[in-house]
Formats: sequence, C-alpha cells, structure tokens
Amino acid sequence: MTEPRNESSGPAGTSAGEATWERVHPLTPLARFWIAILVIVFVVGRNVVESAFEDGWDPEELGRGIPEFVRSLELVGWLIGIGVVLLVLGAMFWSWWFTRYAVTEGTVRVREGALFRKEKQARLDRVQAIEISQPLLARLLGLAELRFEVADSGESTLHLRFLTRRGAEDLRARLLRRKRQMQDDAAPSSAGEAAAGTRGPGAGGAGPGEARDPGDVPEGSVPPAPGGAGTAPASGPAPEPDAAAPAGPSAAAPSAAGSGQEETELARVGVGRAVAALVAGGYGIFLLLALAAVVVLNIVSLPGISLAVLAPALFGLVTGGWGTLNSTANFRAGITGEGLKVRYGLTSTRTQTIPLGRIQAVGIEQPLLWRPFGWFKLVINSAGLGASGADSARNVLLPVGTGQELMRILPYVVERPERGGVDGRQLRAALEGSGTEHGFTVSPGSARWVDPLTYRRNGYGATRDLLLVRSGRLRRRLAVMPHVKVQSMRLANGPLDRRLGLADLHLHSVGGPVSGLVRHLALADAQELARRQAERAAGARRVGEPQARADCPPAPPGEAEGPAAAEDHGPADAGGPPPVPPADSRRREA
Amino acid sequence: MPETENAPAARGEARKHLGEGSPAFERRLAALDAWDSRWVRPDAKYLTVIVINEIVSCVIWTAVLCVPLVLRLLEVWSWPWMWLAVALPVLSVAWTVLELVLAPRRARARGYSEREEDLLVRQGVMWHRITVVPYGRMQYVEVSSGPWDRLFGLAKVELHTASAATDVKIEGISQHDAARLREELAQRGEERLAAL
Repeated sequence: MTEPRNESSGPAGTSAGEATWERVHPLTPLARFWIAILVIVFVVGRNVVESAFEDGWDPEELGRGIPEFVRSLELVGWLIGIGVVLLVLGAMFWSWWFTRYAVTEGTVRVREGALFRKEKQARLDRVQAIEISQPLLARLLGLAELRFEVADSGESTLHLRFLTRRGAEDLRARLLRRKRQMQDDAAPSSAGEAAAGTRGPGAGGAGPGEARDPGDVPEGSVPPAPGGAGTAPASGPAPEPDAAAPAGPSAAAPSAAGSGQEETELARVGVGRAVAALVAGGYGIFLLLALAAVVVLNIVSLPGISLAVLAPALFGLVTGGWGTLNSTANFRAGITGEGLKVRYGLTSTRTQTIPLGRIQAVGIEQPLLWRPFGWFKLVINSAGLGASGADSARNVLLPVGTGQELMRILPYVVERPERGGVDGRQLRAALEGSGTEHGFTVSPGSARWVDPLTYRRNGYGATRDLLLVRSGRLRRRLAVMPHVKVQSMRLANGPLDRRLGLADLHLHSVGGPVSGLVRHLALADAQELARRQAERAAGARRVGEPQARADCPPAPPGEAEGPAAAEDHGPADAGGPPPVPPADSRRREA
Repeated sequence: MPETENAPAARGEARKHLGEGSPAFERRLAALDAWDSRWVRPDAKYLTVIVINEIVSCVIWTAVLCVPLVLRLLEVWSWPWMWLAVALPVLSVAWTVLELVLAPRRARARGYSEREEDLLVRQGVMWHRITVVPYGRMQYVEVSSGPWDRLFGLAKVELHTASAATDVKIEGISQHDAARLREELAQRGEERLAAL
C-alpha cells in the first residue's frame, strides 16, 4: 500500500494505494430512497388534487380547472415545493456521487458521505458471507445489493448498493475466489482444525461454509445462489446452498433441524418445574407485589384508579410471564452430531441446533429461591445468534435444570479439567463459594463500601484455557469464557473506584447474555489480569493449532479452537475439501 | 477518485500532538495503565475542532431553545414561566462552557498505543478506561471524518471486533496517521489472524 495522503479525495485522507474507486449504479438513489420519493409524489399529488377540488374542479372542466387552480395556488407554495424536490434530488445525486467502492488485494472498501465522510474497510478473510439481496424496487430496476457479513454483531455490515444484477454476481464470484485463495494461503495452520472437527464442520459450517459453496463453483457468475430468490442468504446450508430461503437471511430455511443423527437427551423440563421456577425466580415476587398493590388500593379506596393504573402493569406481567413459561416448559435439550439441540414451547414448538463451536461464553445463574431446589440456568453467548435481548430464549441452553442436568450439559460446552478446563471443586467454588479458595481472586476489603454483599464473591479464577468470572450473592452468576474467545477487554475505573483503589476489567465476548465483567478488583489485580489476558490472547493464536488438533475426541469442549477457527477464517474450507460437508448445520427454528 | 498530493498539513511529519497535562493529571492516567505504554495523543488541532464543534452545536441548540422565550416575549405563548423560558438557553450555554472547560483534559486523556500484539486505546478523565484490542481480533476498521475534521486534516478511526462491546474510537488523529494506522492494523491483523 502506498503512503496514503490526500485530503480532498479520500474521506479521511485515506486512499488505498492502487485501488481504483468505482461508483455504484446511478439508479441507486432511486432504489434506496424510493419510499421518500413516493412520499413526495404522494404529498404533492394530494395537494394538487385537493386544491383542485377546492377550486371547484370537476371532471368536465378538466382543461380549464388545472390552470385555474395553478394560478390560485400561491407562488411561494410552488417554489417551496419545487425547492424541496430539487433538494431531495440533489441530495440523492450527492449521495450517489460520493458513494464509491474499491476492491484491493484482500479488502473491500466502501466510501460514503460528502460532509461526513466514512470509509469502511473489511478484510476479505474476515468476511463470513457475501450475500446478494434484491429488495423490491431494486429488483424491478435490475439492481442488486452486495452485503458483506462480518463477524460483528451485525449492525455494521458492509453494504454495497446497488450494482447491476450481473455486476453484483460477478463481483461476488471474484471476491469469493479471492477469499478462497487467501484462505488457502493461510491453510497450513488450519488443517488441524479441519480434522479436529468431529463436530467442527457443523459448527463452522454456517458462515464460511455457505460462503464457500458458491465459491466452489469455480469461475464466473455463481449463478444459482443469487439466482432465484431475492436474497441469497447467509443461511444457505451447504446441501442446497442456493435455492435457499427466498424468505431472507434470518428467516433461514426452516427445514427440520435433525439431519438424521442420533440424539442423546440431556435434560428435560416439565411444565410443573417451569411454573415453579418462574414463581421462585423473581417473577413471583413481582406478581405478589402487584397483587398486594391491587388489594391495598382496592381497600384504601379508588377501585377505579387502581384498575386503570394496574391493568396495563398486570397485562405486562402476564405476557412477560407467559413468554418465559412458553420458552421454559416442555424444554428438551439433547446432543446430536451437529451440536446441542434444543426444543421448547408450550403452544408452538421451536427447535434450534447450536453448533458447539459457535459457543463463545457460558453463563450459569441461580436466583436466590432456586437454591433449595438446586436449580440452575445455563445460557450462552454464541456467534451468529445475534445480540441478546430481542430473542433471548435462543441463548438459553437450559432454562431451569437440576445440578445433574447441568453437569450433563456442561461437559459439552466447557473444557474439561484434563484439557485445561475446570474441575468439579473449582466449579463448585465458582458457583457457590466466596473468598479466595480454589484459586479465585476477589475484590479487596475496600470494595465492601461499593459491594457490601458481593465483594467476597465478585472475582475471577483462571484455568489454563478458561476464565471464570464469578459474581452475585443472592442471585449467583458465573461466566465461563475460554481465553481464546475473548475479543477485547477494557480496564476502567471511576472516581469512587480510584479512591478505593479498585478497577473493573471487562472482557468482551461476542454478544449475548453472558458478561465477562470482573467488578471492583484491586487495581493491581485488575492490571495483572489484564496483562495475563493480553499475553494469553497473543499466545493463544500460536498455541492454537496444536491445541485444536488435540480436540478430535468427542469431548465437545474442543470448540475452544477448532470450529471456531473454521468459522472465522474458514480453515475448514481452507484446509482443503472438508471431510464432511457442512451439513444442515445451522441452528434453525422449526 | 483522483489521488492528489497535497498540503503538508495532511502529511504526518510536521504535525504536533497534544502535550502532557499537569503532573497529577498524568499520574492519574498512568495509574491505570498496566503496561506503562507510550501513548500517542491526539493531534494538536483536535482541540480546535472540538471547540468549533461545541460552538456550532451550542449555537444550534441555543437557537432552538430560544424559541419558547421568543414566543413568550411576543406573547404568542403564555404558558412557559418566564424563568423557565430564560433558563433553557442559559443552560444550553452553560453546558457548552462546561464542555469547553473540560475539553482540553478530555482530549489529553485520549490516546492510543501500538504494541506488539495489540492496540491500546484510552479515553476519559473521570471515568478513565483503557481498551485492549488484539490485532488478530479486528474484524474491520472504519475511518471517518466530519467537515471540521477535514478542514484541519483530522480523522477518526473506529475498530470493530466480533463483540459489540469493543467500541473503540480513536479520535482526533491526523488523516495521515489514520491512513497509516488503518493499513498497519489491517496488516497486523492479517499476520495474527485469530479464530473467532
């Protein structure tokens, strides 16, 4: 890359040496902003018609009517109208003029914006999938959008819109070829992982698998993929990479999850336990409070008001409870060759297969009132599941389970002790213990001013491959994160922390309910952990390969390296034709 | 797009970075740093850009917040109490003044440090934080610049990993540095490509 330096052209004086910047298709603004155009046309049109009517327009006097009402309209109004239209057209042209893209060695770059310029750049080997999508109007205009899915929680996908259909297909084919080349270059490191993938292929399958398939069609225009459907989805599972999902990417082909592999059941939650867990798990307390409020208000007076105020609250409570119940009751978890298969639902059943390799972090929770029953909840952060929140049921591996059930699932998602994982005693300490036993580091005494209940419990423990983050006194929480899955970390302290000599270390994982925040460590401890994690992050990549190779045995924790890698720079692909086609591997709901 | 060779301003060499703050301030920042890193602070022009941005946004906000006052004075409206109508624009100005007073400290507290295996980015005074992003984890890099940034040859670099929490922005560095950093990060990322 040559020394980039230019103010005027590059968004940020960033020019890619030999890159040639190209514009997107001139009809792009029309396809992007057609709604706005429609609105304008509608508003203007309506005004025209309305004012025509005001002027007593009637069909027979069509010829005379229009000039009359034109005259009758104020000139200013027209000028404003025309001004707005011009402005919009200008803005559209402007946005088109300044949108350019370039493909260089291993990257795709997109520049946007005139006043506020932006240049996004994604490395091809980081791109998990390249989709072609055609929204309605674009399709009518013969245009297509290229979307580059990066493993970044989604909101910042790179879009290239719009190109001609053909151009998009060609570019996609070119990029996929290029991507494969890059991966082949990087292959040596990944051969091991490909082999390691007893379940690997399933795991890695989704992202790169899909990307690969079309890529495998060696030359030219990858026709089928984008072929029929509007969106050639990221979801296209290998076998039918292309016909897939006219519905769109995330609506992923709702084909049945099971691909004929044996399933071993690990846990099952009946309706009874689901209800009990719901009531005991904090929800019951809300319910009691609400009922008490109703009763009190009714007794004190104001029955009308109490109803008006509480009805919506109660409604929320009921629907919330129902939602939880619906995803808890009839829950079944099992293990198949493709990953953990989870089914739940009271009224309708949803099925979901979670490739083990995609799991990034594991969280175990225990609300206070679950303790007597010995129940736990098991949640995960998983690549490809998207951020938490929206549909958090999808991040649950076990909504409420006994210790036994937990221990049955856990070995599949957490590294075992002999392989750098966590042993039973340490796990127990992590779940229930407090203080520094079993290698835990907790907040210093000064933290009691900020965490009076939890300062002996907040802390972390580390094994060779895992970091255990413990927190919560009443509602106990444990986060288990493999060192190699930590994306980045943040060391922070506020004014109060400084006074008390504390600092937080937040280990960032791929989005999901599990948080790697180690709160209120002594400053020196936090720094020490940060240093160690930085070293581990650096070391993990080098050590990574042999480790991955060791992962062949069925023990799932192999996830730590193998398939994950597959997912990212697609070693599975890179390592030559993968032994197993990344079968119907994606999680999906039925 | 034409590649223009231009003003020395855009080239790296001649530019100055923000200097150190008071010793106590520096000690406080250094206290959190676990690596005793050498930090590259924002460009000296960054402060100017902040000031311009603040003033521009202050003018806009104050203008908007003056609307009730004007309507009140014209007696179009009778509702907002006079003190409230006056307080709105005054608060807006006061807020800007506060921001301007804090700006130099905040700007000085920013910085990045390129290390062997990762990039450190720090920011914040009261809530100081240091983010560590291993090169191999970077998914993509985004460089952007607003109008004032460009006037002074500055840019902002944003790093994205697979975690949405990463949220790292290196603000107020010269366009030259931004471009260099971007290429550097891309290259190091390639060398150290890490599994997800």
